[in-house]
Amino acid sequence: MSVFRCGLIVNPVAGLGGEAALKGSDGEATQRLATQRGGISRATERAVRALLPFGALPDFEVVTGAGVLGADAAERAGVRHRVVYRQAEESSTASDTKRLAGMLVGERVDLIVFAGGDGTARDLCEVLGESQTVLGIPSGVKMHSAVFAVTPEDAGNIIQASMRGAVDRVVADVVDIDEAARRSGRLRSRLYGRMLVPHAARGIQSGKRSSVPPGSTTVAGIAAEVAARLRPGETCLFGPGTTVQAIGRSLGFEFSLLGVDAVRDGVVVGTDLDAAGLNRTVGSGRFQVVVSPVGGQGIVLGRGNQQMDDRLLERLSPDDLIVACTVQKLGELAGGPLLLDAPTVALNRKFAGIRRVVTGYRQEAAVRVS
Amino acid sequence: MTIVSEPTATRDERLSRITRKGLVRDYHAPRWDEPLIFDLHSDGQRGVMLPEAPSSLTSAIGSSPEGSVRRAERPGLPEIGQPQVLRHFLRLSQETLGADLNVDIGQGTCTMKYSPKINESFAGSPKSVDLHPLQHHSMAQGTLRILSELEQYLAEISGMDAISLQAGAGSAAIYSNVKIVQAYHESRGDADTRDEIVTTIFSHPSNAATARTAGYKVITLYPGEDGFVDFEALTAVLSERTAAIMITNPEDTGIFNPRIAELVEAAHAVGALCVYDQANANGVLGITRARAAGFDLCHFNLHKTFSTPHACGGPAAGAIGATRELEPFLPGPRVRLGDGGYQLIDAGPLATAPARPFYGVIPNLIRAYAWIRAMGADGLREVAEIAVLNNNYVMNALTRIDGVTAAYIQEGSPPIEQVRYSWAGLTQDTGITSGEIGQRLADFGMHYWTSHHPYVVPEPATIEPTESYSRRELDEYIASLAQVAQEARHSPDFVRAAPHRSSVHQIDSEAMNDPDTWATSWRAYRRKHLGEQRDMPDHWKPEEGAPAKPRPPKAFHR
Repeated sequence: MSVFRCGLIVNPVAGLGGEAALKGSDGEATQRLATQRGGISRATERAVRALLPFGALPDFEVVTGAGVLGADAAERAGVRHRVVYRQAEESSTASDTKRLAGMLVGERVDLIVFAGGDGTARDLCEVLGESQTVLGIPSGVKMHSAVFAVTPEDAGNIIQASMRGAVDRVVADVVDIDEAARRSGRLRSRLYGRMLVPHAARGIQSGKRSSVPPGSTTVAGIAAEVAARLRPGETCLFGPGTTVQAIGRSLGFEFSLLGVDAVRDGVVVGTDLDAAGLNRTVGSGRFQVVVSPVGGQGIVLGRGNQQMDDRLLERLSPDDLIVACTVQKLGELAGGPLLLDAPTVALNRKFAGIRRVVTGYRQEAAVRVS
Repeated sequence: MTIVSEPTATRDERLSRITRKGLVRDYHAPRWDEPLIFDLHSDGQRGVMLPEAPSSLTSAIGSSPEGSVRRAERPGLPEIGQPQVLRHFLRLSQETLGADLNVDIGQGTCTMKYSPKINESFAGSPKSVDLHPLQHHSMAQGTLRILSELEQYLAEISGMDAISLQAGAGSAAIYSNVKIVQAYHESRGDADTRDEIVTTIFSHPSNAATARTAGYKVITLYPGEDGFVDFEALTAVLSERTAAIMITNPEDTGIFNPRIAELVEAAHAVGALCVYDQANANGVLGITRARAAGFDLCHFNLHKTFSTPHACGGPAAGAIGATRELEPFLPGPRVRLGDGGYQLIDAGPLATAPARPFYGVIPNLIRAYAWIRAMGADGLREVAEIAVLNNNYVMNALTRIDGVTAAYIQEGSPPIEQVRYSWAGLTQDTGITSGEIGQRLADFGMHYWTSHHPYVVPEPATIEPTESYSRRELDEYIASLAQVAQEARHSPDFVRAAPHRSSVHQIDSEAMNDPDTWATSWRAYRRKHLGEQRDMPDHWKPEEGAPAKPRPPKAFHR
């Protein structure tokens, strides 16, 4: 019996900044701040979700690092595993990721799976380049690179397909947000390198397209439609991104580009709120959320908006999730499906289905969300 | 006559000049850099010298009611002689392309077929052109008979019970259909509830646009992975609020939806009407009919399927088909054969407002009638069969070019009359976009069209060969595209800089999309570009509640 050897790297601080509204978790200062704000990394938990199908398989072995670097996740998923690297005391997460990756190459694993975000992908790309097939379990804050599965469960499916030998490999872009552009108010990705990923018709996300601010006429229509749906006395949360920011501007609000902002009765009552702030702001009553899918990827929840945590989304009625998108962006996504990577499988199920997406004034598109 | 040959040319060189080496043309468009006709004005020049009116007539008119509307100033037309006018327009005409000049299969969904020239003699006959629209019907029996019989033919072709020929173009016919939908629901008292119209992204955009113009909320369905309407999405949006679904089949992807009757049934189940946009009817003539799928309304573009000229934005002709139940809502006077011959009768109390004055665009209706008569029933079916065959021939050849794919075409399910191609592969390899391929194709005297917006298929191109082109012409188009694809790989900068041999070089697409820069009349040109102050004409105002556009006051382009 040939055994499929799956390398696993968990970045234990990935996604730490998500609920803390820090737009990323790279750098020790950010990680400290995130922890102070109550940020939690869900990387281990997400790796467990991806590995669950392999619990009882005798021909599947995880090769990984000790403890939080992967062994914890493998153990919780009940997967046979072998530790080949232990965290050195003085090491940083980035150096652990790189060293473990090097060990896994030496072990000649069939596939390296990592739980992290764009920063982790960049670290891996530095070591691996196009020499080794990798797959990302999306666990970061924003994932603009095309090396990630859409959800942990999708990652599990792609690992299974790889075990069966049923997949080709393709070259995918590793990108990260262009910080200089962001500081000047534009959302743009910067290419850092390329890695090999399993080719899967479904389940692997595309790279994010750099955002082109939508035309003012288009946005005015979408904004008027959104405004007509806002309910008096209730909070409406506006998600991150160029489209939502433009909608806000058209309605006279100055929103943050990458944050979640709150509006009630025509007044901005919170800007760039973290998970705790959002839960506090919406109070105990009904509330609405306006989001726009990530351009080129089509992901509605779970990319760049993890501040909207499981507590918040559990209270949000699917009818109160307003998805707004220009027809241009929807066209680039071939009309869908739009994708969900909410904090839990149950929440993904809750918001899935055919949704009416606002594309203009009295204009909607019926789009599948899955 | 003596033919002097060049003494230095060898026999082979002389022969090579008269032997074509291949299908791709060594083309060059004329470029005249022609001024506007207003700029050719010269004081005192005349095209026609009219005799002075007798003084008795001028004084009689002066005191008559007509005298009160006599212009105080001469109209601001250019003063120019006949030969200058002739040269001006001949030069402009040389800088155009058209179905009579080039292989025009690149204008997918436009159905650029041959308009037989003999039909011009019917349309231009004094029996037609000298007829006044208010002439008594007893003196227009021939024309009325043509209208009546054309209605019958189109009823037979579509399977519908009644036809109105009044619309002046395809979009006018679609708008008329939306108004019929509205009138129907009004007659049943639920027009206020039914405020939504469902259409698809691959249907013609006029469906969504006319529905919005009539005040409906528009819900657009996007395709599933197979390119067909996502049936689950349709059923999810259908409700007691749905007034109608408006759909094309085959859509602009050229694939025929085999579940079309199910879509219609689902819409009927919630009380909605079903409107069939038959813009793409050329591949199904005589093979299937709107009624067979259960549609309540349909329309044809006579300038597409039935050979009348497209007229470049001038009057075309649209025909509306309706079931017996919806016939009372059809616009315009109806032609009826009674004891005294053909008569025009009032459309009745339920009829929607006229789509245009009088009876429709009579010359085009005569052309379509003549074309259908010449084809006969078998001929119409043959048109569809050849159009489908030509399309599959072209697809087979084009998809052999490295970097192009045919969107949504499944093995064993050939396309109908057109294909939406994707150059995404070539773009990825070379950076050359579909738009740039189109610009280079102008260097071969050919049109090329990508797709309506938004681009759902990446780097799209839509090609519809119709039945009117010979195999050699199809091969010429294919060879030209193949050459451009090859150039994209070897000389991308050369393609990017194209056209090199067209009448105009690359145009400013931002200006094309910005009405503020448009001047479609001399008056607008003087106001916008020469800075003259002029009174503003009355103009359309957006409906109440529509969002204010964050832009300067509208710049009128007429």
